[in-house]
Amino acid sequence: MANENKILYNSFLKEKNIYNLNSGYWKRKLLKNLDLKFSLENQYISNKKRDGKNFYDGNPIFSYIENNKAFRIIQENPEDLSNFSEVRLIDAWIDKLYKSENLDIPELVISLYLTKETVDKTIELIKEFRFENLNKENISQYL
Amino acid sequence: MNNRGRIQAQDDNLEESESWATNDEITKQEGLNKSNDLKEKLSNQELAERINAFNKLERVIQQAPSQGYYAQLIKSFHHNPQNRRIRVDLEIRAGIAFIDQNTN
Repeated sequence: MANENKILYNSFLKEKNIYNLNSGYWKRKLLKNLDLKFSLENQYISNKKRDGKNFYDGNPIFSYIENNKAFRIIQENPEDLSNFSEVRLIDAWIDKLYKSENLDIPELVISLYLTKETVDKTIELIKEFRFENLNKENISQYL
Repeated sequence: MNNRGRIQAQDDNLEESESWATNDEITKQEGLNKSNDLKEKLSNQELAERINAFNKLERVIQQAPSQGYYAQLIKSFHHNPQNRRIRVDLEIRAGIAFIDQNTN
């Protein structure tokens, strides 16, 4: 497996400390590359249960909303796969996010197995989405 | 309504859903009923493509703490890692869902 496609934080669903490091990795990467403003309001999915416990499932590992645009990153379990060469390491689609009775906003959903390459592609997709270049019709061209 | 949400089967062409909007907090059993109602709206092929996704969704509903999950919660479940756009989505948009029992 080429270095670009080496799976990072392979055991993130097994060990909470690895999961937390993995989660921090996303925050650092996205903050550095996308100039995001982190706050509880911006992260629109807490991914916590009502008893306050985290899901620790990567679904999503990160979410962000700003200016009526949202994106959600789902990090898939690499242990579900026996052969990485047969699977698309990153996929994405545009969904509608309910905001209020009369307002749905576009939500970019990215599903990935975490590698250096998929992180770089995620940043590219989010940039294009924020600059209004990416939409439901042309998203496949960016993957 | 205080409690709103939906379960939705989606892909590039399909968009079928079962939703709720109620002042009562919906129970795990009501959530599982919504999942079954959605399955009945799908063709045999659409359902076959989502069996694992529904199983994952129903596991999340069943594993909710007794006081349920609170909004905003969104999860996407796929059947086949090769095509993750063929999926079932859970959205808790407002309030609380999947408590053990409703005491009202």
